[in-house]
Amino acid sequence: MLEVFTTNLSQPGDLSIMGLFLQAHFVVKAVIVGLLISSVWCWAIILEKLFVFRRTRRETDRFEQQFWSGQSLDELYNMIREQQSNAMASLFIAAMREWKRSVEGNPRPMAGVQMRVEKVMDVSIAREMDRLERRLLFLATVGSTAPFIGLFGTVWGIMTSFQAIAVSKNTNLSVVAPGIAEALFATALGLLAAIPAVIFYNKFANESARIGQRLEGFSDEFSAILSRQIDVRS
Amino acid sequence: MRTSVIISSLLHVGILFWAFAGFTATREFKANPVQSIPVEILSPGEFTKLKAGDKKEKAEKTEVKKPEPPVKKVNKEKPKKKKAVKKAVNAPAKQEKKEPVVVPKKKKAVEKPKPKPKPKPKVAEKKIKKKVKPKPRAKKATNKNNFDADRIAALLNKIPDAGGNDAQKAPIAPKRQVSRGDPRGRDKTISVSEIDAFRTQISQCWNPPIGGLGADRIVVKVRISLNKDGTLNRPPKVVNSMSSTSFLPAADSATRAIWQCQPYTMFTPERYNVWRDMVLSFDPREMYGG
Repeated sequence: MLEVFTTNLSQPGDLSIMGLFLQAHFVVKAVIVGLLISSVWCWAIILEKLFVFRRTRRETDRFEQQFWSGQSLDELYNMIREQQSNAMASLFIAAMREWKRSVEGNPRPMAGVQMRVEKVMDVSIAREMDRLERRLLFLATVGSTAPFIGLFGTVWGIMTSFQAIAVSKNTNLSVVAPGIAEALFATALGLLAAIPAVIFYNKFANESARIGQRLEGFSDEFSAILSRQIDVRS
Repeated sequence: MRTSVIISSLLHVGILFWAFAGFTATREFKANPVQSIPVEILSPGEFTKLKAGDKKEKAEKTEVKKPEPPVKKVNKEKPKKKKAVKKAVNAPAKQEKKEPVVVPKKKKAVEKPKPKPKPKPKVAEKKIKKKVKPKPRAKKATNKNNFDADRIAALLNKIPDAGGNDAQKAPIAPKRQVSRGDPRGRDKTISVSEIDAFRTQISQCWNPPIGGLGADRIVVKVRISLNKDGTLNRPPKVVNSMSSTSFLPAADSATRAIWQCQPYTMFTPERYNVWRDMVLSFDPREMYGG
């Protein structure tokens, strides 16, 4: 007992971050590494989504400007067909392709063109939304589970410190502190990963919902234009 | 996606590196060692008690040797100075009374021998003066000793070495817990400023356990032995024991304080044999200001 006591005293414990990590139990190490990796992945997703959403917003604005500028839809279609990078543009292209296929050759549009175009546009919207929202669920998962994972590491670390108490039969701070420090380190990492994940998940979910609304609105307006066209032709 | 993964991992590596570099360890809050303020400020006109005691001893020795013929008792009772001083003071006083009476009676006719007796009383007077002076000093010194003992004993009680109980020092501070001695009996002592510095250093590291039942009444005595560079020679040893449950934590806190505060560089290496082996007493009441 005396030896345990003196070693504890003479080496008050390396409380640097690396020291904490190296002293930690295997389970706590695994928790810490896992949380670090998930944090890296979270931030990768966050950065990527930031770029994607900003680009989508900008290109959607530009496309809407072009669409409502009075240009003929055929010209617009020919102009945009090559680029096809934008959500709304790809929606427009899919609808125009379906329309052209239905209208080409016969002066009177085939029956059910309206419905088909709407279906195509729905599918296109779903695809675009899926592309925008991909990997967002990971953010949600990390945001909700990382604190628990960190807590798991904490509980484990506190178990370690209780074992230290049992071994040294001593409730000194120097006996308890290392275990608690490594434990709190795990929780800190969990929160560190979870907080930005939650914040950005909410932000991106909100933004993708807005983009989805815009796409829906565009598809409604476009189908209104088509139905007017059909009525004019028939 | 790849670029953002790369950016993200770079970001994390950067933050981790910053953390490693920035939080390599808990920063030590090292205050500059508090230079103990000379006692003069607290109790004006008084020197540190130890030095006062030493000086007085030397002064008395020299005095005692010179007046051998009139005051023979003093020499015999050298070790017990207070008494010696008192007697020395009394003796010449008696002599003074007697001499002027005796001399004129015996040598009335002869005027020449007159000068002979005259110097005697003068010498006696000088002796009286000399001896009267140390008297109040000695009193003050003892008073100081008691006062300082209260102050210092609280945190740091030094019990002298095996050879520390030489006759010279015993009367100076008979009850003092901070008495320190040199096995050879010279006036090699630890100055109060050194003790104060030692005390402040340890009290900075000492974190007495708070809140235990009767925790403030637990006094831990720890024996430490130091190397010449002020580091611990071997683990400190708790020399007393109490039945209280709070004693073990208190003892641990004391030993921890000693461990953490080393090295103790405030002692002069010339007096290594004085501070090599010490018994410290940790009393939380002083820490709480009680």
